[in-house]
Amino acid sequence: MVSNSYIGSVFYNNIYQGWFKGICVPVMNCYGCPLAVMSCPIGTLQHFVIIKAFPLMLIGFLGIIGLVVGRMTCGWLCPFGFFQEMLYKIKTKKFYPGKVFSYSKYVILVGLTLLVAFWVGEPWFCKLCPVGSLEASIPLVLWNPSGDIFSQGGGIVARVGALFYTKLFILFALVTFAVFVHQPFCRYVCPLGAIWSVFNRFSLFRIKVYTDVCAFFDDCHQRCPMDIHVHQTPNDGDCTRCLECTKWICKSVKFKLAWAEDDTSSRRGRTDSHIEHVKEGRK
Amino acid sequence: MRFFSAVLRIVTLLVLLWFLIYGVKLGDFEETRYNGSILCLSCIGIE
Repeated sequence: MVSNSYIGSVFYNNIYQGWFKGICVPVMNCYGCPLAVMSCPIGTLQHFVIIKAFPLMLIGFLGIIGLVVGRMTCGWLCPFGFFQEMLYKIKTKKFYPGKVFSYSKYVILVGLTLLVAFWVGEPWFCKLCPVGSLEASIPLVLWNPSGDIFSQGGGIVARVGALFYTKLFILFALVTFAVFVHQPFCRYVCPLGAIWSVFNRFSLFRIKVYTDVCAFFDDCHQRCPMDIHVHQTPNDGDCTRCLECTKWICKSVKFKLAWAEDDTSSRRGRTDSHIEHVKEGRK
Repeated sequence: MRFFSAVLRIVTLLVLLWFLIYGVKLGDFEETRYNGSILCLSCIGIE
């Protein structure tokens, strides 16, 4: 809401061009949206690749967030993640595709976002991005504003072509998919998530599992929204740090500051009565 | 090992902070602002 709050766009038929556009939001948020106040990190990354400059500021910005909290902004701030979350609440049969498919986001990051932009000189991820379809394409085509910035080349609607319909088709496919699979864009497509998923394994704030309690159960992945085996790989690259696992009755999972990478440990002081209490609660 | 890991993270954090500050000094902020201030036709899906 904050990053897309430029109401002046509606009154003056323009887009925000002020100081805040120099800052990227730490989530996927299209700056083609007429209400956008801040820039998209992936759009900016592609721009720097196209002009063949090293994005020092962006790497520093994304790296600091990743090193401190990993993918936490995906789980707590991303509007497109929230949109998919709402779609998944529709009651239907759910599917859990294998872990192997989640590597596709790295292919999209390196291939489509970096290499294609470098070779072709055009931001091809932005051209196909479903976030842009939802936040920029559909609103602008429905609105069809008349300001100078929009009306070049005959206006927005007059310039709609095959690329626009391709974007719409990708969005439609993803929306359909999101009803049956939890957050498919975040898991299989998002290049920003791919960058931060690498940091999940090293971040300062991380998931820690106390094995003396959780060792009794092996169905954690069925309770985790991202289908992660929390007691085996608590800081998996797919984890968006929604912290749902920290609310489980066994209380064996904590999100805490940790200077070393020991993700699991036993905690002294757990009594048999506590374990029995946990077992009872799970029945 | 724990001490080494902590030091490595702090050093990485400082390097990334230097990236951020030096990037701003080199003009990355203005470049990002300039790029964001142009209507992104690619994002809208029109050519």
